[in-house]
Amino acid sequence: MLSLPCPFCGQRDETEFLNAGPAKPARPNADVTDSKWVEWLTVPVNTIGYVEEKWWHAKGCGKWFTIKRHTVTHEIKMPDEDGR
Amino acid sequence: MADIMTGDAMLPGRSALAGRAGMNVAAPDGGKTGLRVQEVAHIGKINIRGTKSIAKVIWNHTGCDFPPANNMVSSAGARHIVWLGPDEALLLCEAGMERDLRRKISADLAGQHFAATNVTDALCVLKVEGPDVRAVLAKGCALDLHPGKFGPGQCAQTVLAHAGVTIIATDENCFLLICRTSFAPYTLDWLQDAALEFGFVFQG
Ligand SMILES: [Zn+2]
Repeated sequence: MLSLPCPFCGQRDETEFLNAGPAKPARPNADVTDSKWVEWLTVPVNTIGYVEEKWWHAKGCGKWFTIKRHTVTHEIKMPDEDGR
Repeated sequence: MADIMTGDAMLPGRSALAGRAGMNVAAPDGGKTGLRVQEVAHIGKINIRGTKSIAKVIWNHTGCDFPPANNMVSSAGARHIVWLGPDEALLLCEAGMERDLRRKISADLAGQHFAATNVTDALCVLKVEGPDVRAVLAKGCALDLHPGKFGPGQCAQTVLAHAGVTIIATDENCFLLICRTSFAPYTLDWLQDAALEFGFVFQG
C-alpha cells in the first residue's frame, strides 16, 4: 500500500486516490512521422526507475497532482525535488 | 412545492436516520459505553466552490474567520466553515437557516465566479463520541487518528469502511462524521458493528 503526498492534505493512504496514469512525454508536433506518432500514442515506456504519474485525490480534497514514483522501490518524490 | 428559480425544495423534512432506535449494545465489561452516536438532524449545509477571493463575503455572513490552515474548521456559534479542498468549503449553519444564508451569499457574490449549493438533504451529520471513538473509527479509516495528529479543529475528507466521509474533530473524543444521506444507514450499522466490543448507544 502506498502513502501519497497530497499537496493540499499532506500524506494520505492510497485508498483515497485514483491513479490517472503516467504523465506522458510532450505531444509531438504536427510534422511527426507516422511511426513516431504511433509510438507516442501506444507504446508504454515501462521504465525501471522513476516515472512521473498523475494522481487524483478523489475521495479527499479533489486535487490533481504529479509525483515521481520509483517502479521498483515505490519511493516517491515530488517532480520539483530534482530540479524540474 | 419547489421554488424553481432558486432551486430550494420546500418539502417537509424526514431525517436520514429517523426511526432507527433500539440499536444499543451494552459494554461487554459492564463499564462505560465506548461509542455514542447521535444524528445532527437537518443541520444546514451549503457547499461553496470558489477561490479565496470570495472568502470575505462568506465569512461576513457567518462570523467565522477563514480557517487557519488546510483541512481545518473555523466556528462562530452554530456556524462552521469546513475547508475541504483548494477551492471548496462546506458551511454548516442552524437548521432551517440554509436557504436564507445561501440566498444572501449568492446575492453578495453576484457576478463573481463561484457556486453556493444547498446540500442540506444530500448529507447526513452524525455526532460520534465516547472514550473509544478513535479506536472504532480507526477500524475502517486509514487516516492517522492519533490525538496529536488529528485534534480539535481539524477536518479531513477520507474513506470510512469504503464510504466517502468528512471527519471533523470537535473535541478530544468527539467528532462530527458527515456522510451521504444514502450511506447513513450503512454507516450507522457499520459503527454499531465496529463498536460491539466497546458498547454502543444510538441516540436517534
Ligand atoms: Zn488532498
